Amino acid sequence: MDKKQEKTSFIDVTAPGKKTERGHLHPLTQAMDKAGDIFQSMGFEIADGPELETEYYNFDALNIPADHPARAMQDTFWLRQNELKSQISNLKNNEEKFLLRTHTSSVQIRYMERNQPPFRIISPGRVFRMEATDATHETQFYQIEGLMVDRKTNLANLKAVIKIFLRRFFGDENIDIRFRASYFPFVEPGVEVDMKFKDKWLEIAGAGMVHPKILDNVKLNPNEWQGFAFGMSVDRLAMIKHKIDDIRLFYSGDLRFLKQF
Amino acid sequence: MKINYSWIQSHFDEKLPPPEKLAELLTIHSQEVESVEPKNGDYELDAKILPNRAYDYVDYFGVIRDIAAILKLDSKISLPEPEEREIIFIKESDFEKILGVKISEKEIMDILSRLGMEISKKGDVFSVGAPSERPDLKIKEDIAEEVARIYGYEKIGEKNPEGLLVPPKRNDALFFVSAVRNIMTGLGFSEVYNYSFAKNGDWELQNPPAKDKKFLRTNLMEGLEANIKENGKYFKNIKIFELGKIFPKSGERMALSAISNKADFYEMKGVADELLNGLGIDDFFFKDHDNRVAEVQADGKTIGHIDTNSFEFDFDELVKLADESVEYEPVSKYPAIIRDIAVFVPLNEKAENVLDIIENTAGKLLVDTDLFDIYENEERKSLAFHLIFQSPEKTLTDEEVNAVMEKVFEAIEANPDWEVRK
Repeated sequence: MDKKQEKTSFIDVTAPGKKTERGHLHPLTQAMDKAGDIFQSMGFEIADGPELETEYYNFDALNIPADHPARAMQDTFWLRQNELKSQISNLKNNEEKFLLRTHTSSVQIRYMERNQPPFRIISPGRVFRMEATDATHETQFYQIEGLMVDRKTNLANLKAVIKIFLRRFFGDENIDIRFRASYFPFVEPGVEVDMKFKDKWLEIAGAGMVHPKILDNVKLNPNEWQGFAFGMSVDRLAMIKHKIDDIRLFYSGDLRFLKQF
Repeated sequence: MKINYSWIQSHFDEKLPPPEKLAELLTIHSQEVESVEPKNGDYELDAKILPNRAYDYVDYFGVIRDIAAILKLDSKISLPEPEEREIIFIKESDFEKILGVKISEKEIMDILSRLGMEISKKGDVFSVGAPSERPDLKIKEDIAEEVARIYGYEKIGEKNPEGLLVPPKRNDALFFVSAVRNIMTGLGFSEVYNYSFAKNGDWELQNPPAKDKKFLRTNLMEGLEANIKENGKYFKNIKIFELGKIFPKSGERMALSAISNKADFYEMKGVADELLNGLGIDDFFFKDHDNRVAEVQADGKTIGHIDTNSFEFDFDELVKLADESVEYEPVSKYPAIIRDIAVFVPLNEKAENVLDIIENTAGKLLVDTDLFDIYENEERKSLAFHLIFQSPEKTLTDEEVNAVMEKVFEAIEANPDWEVRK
């Protein structure tokens, strides 16, 4: 029988549907999920660590000693030294100062201390910098740090991994990258990574070969093990991907923004 | 650091590339040139000197050495031979091992000597004497970098890493973070990220970003309440949640908080039930709480609180209790029989007490109880339940179910304050 004849009442298919609403995941969650999927498919494990960090893991273990110019490069939020410290176990020593981590590179150290190489990890997470906020600067943002260490991982491998990641993340097989000479105390050689996106070079990551001192700090023999590390801002990736012009929108809780994702 | 183009040119016999081009070469191989400005018929290059090269650039000659190496030119500077040179050894094979590209011996020697190094080779080991203006050069990796940046990173081709195809280990905490996000968005809640800073707390910053952000947050709820207020200007129904770190006295915990501006306690309790069940947590119960409506207990601990239209859980505890294994329970082949019962109880009586009596009396044929209606008048309230009876072995008869219901009626009316509504 013809279905139309069965209809008893008139249905206006042009009238709007009843409003039902789904919840929306935060755009940075979506970006980190996507990055996590891509890196996991390349054999990287996702590692995490504390936001309230010690001076050792954030600076000393990463070859950034107290008088090093790099400590001035990153303006750090320091915690007041108080009685609370004693409540936190597993401190390296009691003199240590607490801070809000300025990068997720601290997770590398924690991971390498607890595991045996070879390593392939990424660590996404919230980081903090003491700086004046504007459309491109925030006191908190998210970073993805990557680390790959085995017996022969080299700079050419770093180039391949970053390029594959960026092409998949942006869904654009025409993306090109370039390395520029740069300096970060925890890598040597150290490079700045630019991405050619829609005919423009954009700074996208800092990277390099893990400094032998770092391996030494986690009791690995730098003559046996080598590898690369990189770090990039998730906020920046998401801003480029979605054409977002103000980083502060991510932390505004504004549903007019969040419901678009 | 501002450097004049004509000053650079004065150190070379050959004509240098135009200012913009030179700036680009420096940016790629040496120091980032942030701007090139015409000035008095000359050009001024503004270079951001990397912190490890500051010493080399004090007398500006660092840039001359870099350009000489990049363009393979001989510069017209002669510096006095340094009193001391730091000697660094590097094997020829180390360059390829680190960089993943083979660079010829001739090229390596050329680059390093134009950068002001004294270089010799014995067997396959280079001995590199770094001048005193390069205190940043200490180990073989530093020498590899000098060669690589001048040689050009663009000439290093990409090579996919080799290695065993072992699937990465799963991070359990992150797995459940993701599960919770899916459950909450499935229930219509949108995710927000708020600041980790708060007006009050246990951990105080030495250098807070603002007067009202002196501490690290100790809960997520205050942030969500502020979000509700702001969004209230544009939306009627607001359901939001956040998963994030909080910083109580003991250090750092992961918390999960949700709020629904139009919800009542029972609605939020329903959301909490669904969330916990979704994480495979079955063994939990709700208790009265002094200043919030209820606390949620499991495994002998308080794992969260529910307030009128919101809740906050200790996510670290949830992860410990969560269980993703699901065991299938066969669906009975025999039909179920449903009976309803309504009970009048005093206004302050808890539904749980009535449920306990029903479930403890009815025995194993009762497979589910569902409180479907609560009605209150001034003196007392009525609680109405569906009782679902089913056997895995046979089709139940009315007589069998009636017998159980009689027992339930008797047990309920044994309490003088309760009455079965007939």
